[in-house]
Amino acid sequence: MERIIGIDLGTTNSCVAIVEGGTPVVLANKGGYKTTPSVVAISENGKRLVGHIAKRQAVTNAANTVYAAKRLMGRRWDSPAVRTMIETVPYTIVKGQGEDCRIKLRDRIYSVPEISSIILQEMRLVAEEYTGEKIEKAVITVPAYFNDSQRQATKDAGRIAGLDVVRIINEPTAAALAYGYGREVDKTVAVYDLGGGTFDISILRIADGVFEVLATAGDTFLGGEDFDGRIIMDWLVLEFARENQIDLRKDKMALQRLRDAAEKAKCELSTAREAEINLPFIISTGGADALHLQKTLTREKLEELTVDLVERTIKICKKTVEEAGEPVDEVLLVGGMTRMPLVQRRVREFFGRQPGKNVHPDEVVALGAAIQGSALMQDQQQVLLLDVTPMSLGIMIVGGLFSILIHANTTVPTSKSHIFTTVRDNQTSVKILVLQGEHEQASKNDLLGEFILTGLRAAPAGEVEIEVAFDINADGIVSVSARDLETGQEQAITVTATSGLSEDEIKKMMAENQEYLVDVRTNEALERKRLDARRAYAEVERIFPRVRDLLAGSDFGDDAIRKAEGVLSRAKKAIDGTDMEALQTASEALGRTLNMFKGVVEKIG
Amino acid sequence: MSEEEFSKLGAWEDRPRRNPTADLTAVQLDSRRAFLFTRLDGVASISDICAISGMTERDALKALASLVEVGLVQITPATGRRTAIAVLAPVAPVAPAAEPDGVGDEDDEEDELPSGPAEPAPVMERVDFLPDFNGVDRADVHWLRSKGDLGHVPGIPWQRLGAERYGRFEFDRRALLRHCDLTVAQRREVLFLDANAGQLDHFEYFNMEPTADRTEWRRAYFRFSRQFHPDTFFRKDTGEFGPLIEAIYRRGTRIHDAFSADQELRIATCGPWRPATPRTGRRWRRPGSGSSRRSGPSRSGARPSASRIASGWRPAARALRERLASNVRARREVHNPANERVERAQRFYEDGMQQYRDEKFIEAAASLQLAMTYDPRNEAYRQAHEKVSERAHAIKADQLWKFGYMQESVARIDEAIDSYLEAVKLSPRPNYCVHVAELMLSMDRDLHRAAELARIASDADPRNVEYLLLLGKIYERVGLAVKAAAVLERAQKLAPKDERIKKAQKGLKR
Repeated sequence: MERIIGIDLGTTNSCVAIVEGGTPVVLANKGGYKTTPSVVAISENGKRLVGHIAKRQAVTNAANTVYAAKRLMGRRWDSPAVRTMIETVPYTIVKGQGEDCRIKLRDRIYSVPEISSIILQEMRLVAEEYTGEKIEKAVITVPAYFNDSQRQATKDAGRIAGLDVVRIINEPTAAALAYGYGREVDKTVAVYDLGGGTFDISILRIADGVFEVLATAGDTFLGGEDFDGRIIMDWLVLEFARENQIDLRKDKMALQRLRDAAEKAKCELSTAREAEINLPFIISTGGADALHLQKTLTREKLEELTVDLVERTIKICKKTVEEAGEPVDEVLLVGGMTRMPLVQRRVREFFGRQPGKNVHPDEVVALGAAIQGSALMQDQQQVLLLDVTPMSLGIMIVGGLFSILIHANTTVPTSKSHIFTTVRDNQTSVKILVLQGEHEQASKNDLLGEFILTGLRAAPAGEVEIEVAFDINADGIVSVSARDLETGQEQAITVTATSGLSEDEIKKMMAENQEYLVDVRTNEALERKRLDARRAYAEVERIFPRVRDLLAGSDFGDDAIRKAEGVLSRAKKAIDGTDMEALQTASEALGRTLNMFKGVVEKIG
Repeated sequence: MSEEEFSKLGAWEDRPRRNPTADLTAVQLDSRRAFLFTRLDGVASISDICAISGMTERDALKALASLVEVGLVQITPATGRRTAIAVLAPVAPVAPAAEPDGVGDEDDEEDELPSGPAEPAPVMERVDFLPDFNGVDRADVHWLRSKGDLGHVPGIPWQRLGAERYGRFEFDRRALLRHCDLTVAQRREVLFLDANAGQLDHFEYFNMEPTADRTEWRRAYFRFSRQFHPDTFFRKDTGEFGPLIEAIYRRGTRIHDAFSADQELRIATCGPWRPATPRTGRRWRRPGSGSSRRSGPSRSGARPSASRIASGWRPAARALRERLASNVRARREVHNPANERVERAQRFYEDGMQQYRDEKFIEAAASLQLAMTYDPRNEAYRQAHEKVSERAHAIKADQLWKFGYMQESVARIDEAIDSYLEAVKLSPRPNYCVHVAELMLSMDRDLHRAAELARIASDADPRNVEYLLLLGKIYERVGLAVKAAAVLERAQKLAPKDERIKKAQKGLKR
């Protein structure tokens, strides 16, 4: 049976899992870590670096190291989130063709899905390494509050990485799946997911293996990165500027060091009361002089800096709990940020209960994704997920207002229709703008698509009636149709959210990636062969002196020894080179020589 | 209590409903009347109300009548067949003479009731189908809640559930045998739901009892999802069932949303939820679970709402549920196509009566005719139609007659005769008949018809010699000598000295 992996594509860390014999397991990468930093870098010699390696070299290569790319996913160039990102990150964000944003690394411009695809690719390789088979299908998680274009961008990223994205599911939902999988649960569960870049709260009803999402909400621009940002911008940089009259933000390398130090201090403060931030030679003041940064961050200070962020999450929680309208039996904490004592305390206070400890905040999401993947493949499904639309859908009406047809938290698949009338006399056409969001003004919401219905009867305002119908299918794909009730004329679109990438671009990227993958795979094969050859070489070298002694004097011995010496020198050359075939023949020759040598030793020695 | 009291209530089929403008606080209701009052939803008929009241018919009617008297309840006359309320006299012996006016009243009543609908009944209120939850009035919900325990009402017999679910539904054999991965049970359910989507209500759709509470309907919804969620068929070949399943599940989610959207229902069945106060940080439990925790007096002091839930809310919830169930029934009635016809008939009837009052008799007759076509069994419509059509025919006939007369005066005899004949057909008055018969005789047109008309006239007024004379003349002309002789003889007996008759008889003998 085909296997589906679950990938948690996080803002700061990513994770991959698979269901193995009915039990979901998280797969460790080559370094033995279960999570991989979502960092991509291009090194000086143009090499692609992903994960821990990329993160480690970030200080020296700040401008070409992308982190938190997920925060740019599916966002428009002119959105405030992107503005903030441009100001704070050391890499260069540029404007793409379709109003999307791109990232400039070295001399190439990458799209955001491309960057994410590199991470997905890495996760896929981890899974392939583990299973020893080719993996082609995946369930990828996104924050519950991602809108259509952000989801589409994630799907595109999967495609570029050569993965068939079977389903996009929400992170908190995945966490609940992992929590309720394989045990008898009949509870209402709240999942509080505060990750690196996003915050989500979902309330689910779990019974009989059915997971029904009651309500979900969140903030796609609120997460650990913002907590780090507070430490850096509001405290370290500010204090340093006050003391030394130097703005550290101007120096990319300093900023990167500050970022690492802040993250480290924040993590330490989850257990310790205070953390040292010690950055010698943070900046040079011209000449040989350099300034050092040495500070102590206390837990109180951190909480003071970030308390409003936590309150923001609690406010969202309150709204969602009201929306769900059911008492919560259990609270799950997901995401690295929930290790912060302040967050735990506030969540405990708000829900009036101790959050559940039996889920791993970093791994649970990937596990849930893997469970959903395997559930889809089963004949008799153990779990069934009933998801909702996170945001309201509707159209723009007169006065630039937003008229909602499908409200947020409506179970999908669903359909809904409403009748609208013309607003001007002799109006013969209407423009239907399909929007997503919660603001009552149409312009503040995301535009998903538009179309025009023409050929209406010229009549006084309000006389011609148009029925607008929305339809969401199980994959979350929205289609909208408008029908003139008088003439029966109809116009319809399937809203294909765009990630800013055209189909051609995606195809091109897929091809490029395929090449890269072939490269990586051959490299790996070469490496393996080289390793084999090297081992054989060492073995031959080890026995060689003894054989030489044994064969010395015999007439055929000299000939054999000369031959063996030839083989060894050729093998040495092949091992140093990159020619696959030479390596192959060399290692075969080495094998023969070794066999012969062994025979000689056994017979004579 | 005499029957007279009940006559105010109308017929068994009439529907009492609450007067929305009445001030509830102004009247004192005893428990019986209050109970009865809560049963009224504007849909149940008087007989239904009596059946569920748990009192004797007489008591129930009495309570109802007093409610009507104080203006809390209004009676909506039924549109269909109406059966007068007749209650057997109480067992206590009552001398026939004790109530002398009772008999007379009864007669009046008998006359009045069947011919009753002089007052047009209001058109039935429309109940919104989806997505609002069964159109339960918010005010009603609050009112019900404030009343606390209202007792239990026997459940409504249910048809489309369990083993009875498919009833006599005929499955398409070929569809059951189509190639796909669905089991036979699944196919049955799909075909059944697809074919009956219009008739099944929310509860039937999910295959659950009408009194299902939140937990139950959620379970039912989960069961339904397990059956029809698209994910269930992810790797399966659904064949031609695919689109059906999708449509069914879509409808299911909408029903589910309608249920979930009903905040009142949610609160009533679950209790309100608010986050625990940070100070106490006490674990908060749902009402219904962990009764031992709730019962402790010290705890109830800490959470006053818990005791409130325990005492009042849950029974109220039950009452609400029953109301919802009855609303479901009401909606089913409204959406019954037969009901739509009745409703339309009612509308035409009202139009007709209005036109009748405006003395537009011809239009009124047409409207009533339509009303009769839509609801042929309604006696009231038939009678009204008869009454109106008589008037209408007379008027029409007069018009035609006038027109004919005008034509005759300008010597367009054929047109005149046609017009006269039409008029006579609508309203066969003797003088009209004679006039047209004479004309036809003198102009020698269709004498058989003329003879017929003359006979009608003479049948209507057998002692009129003129008519008989005319009839005789016509018979003579068409050559029915024997008949003519008989007629003339009759005429002569009536007027033995009339010269014209003698002359005619002589002419006949020749």
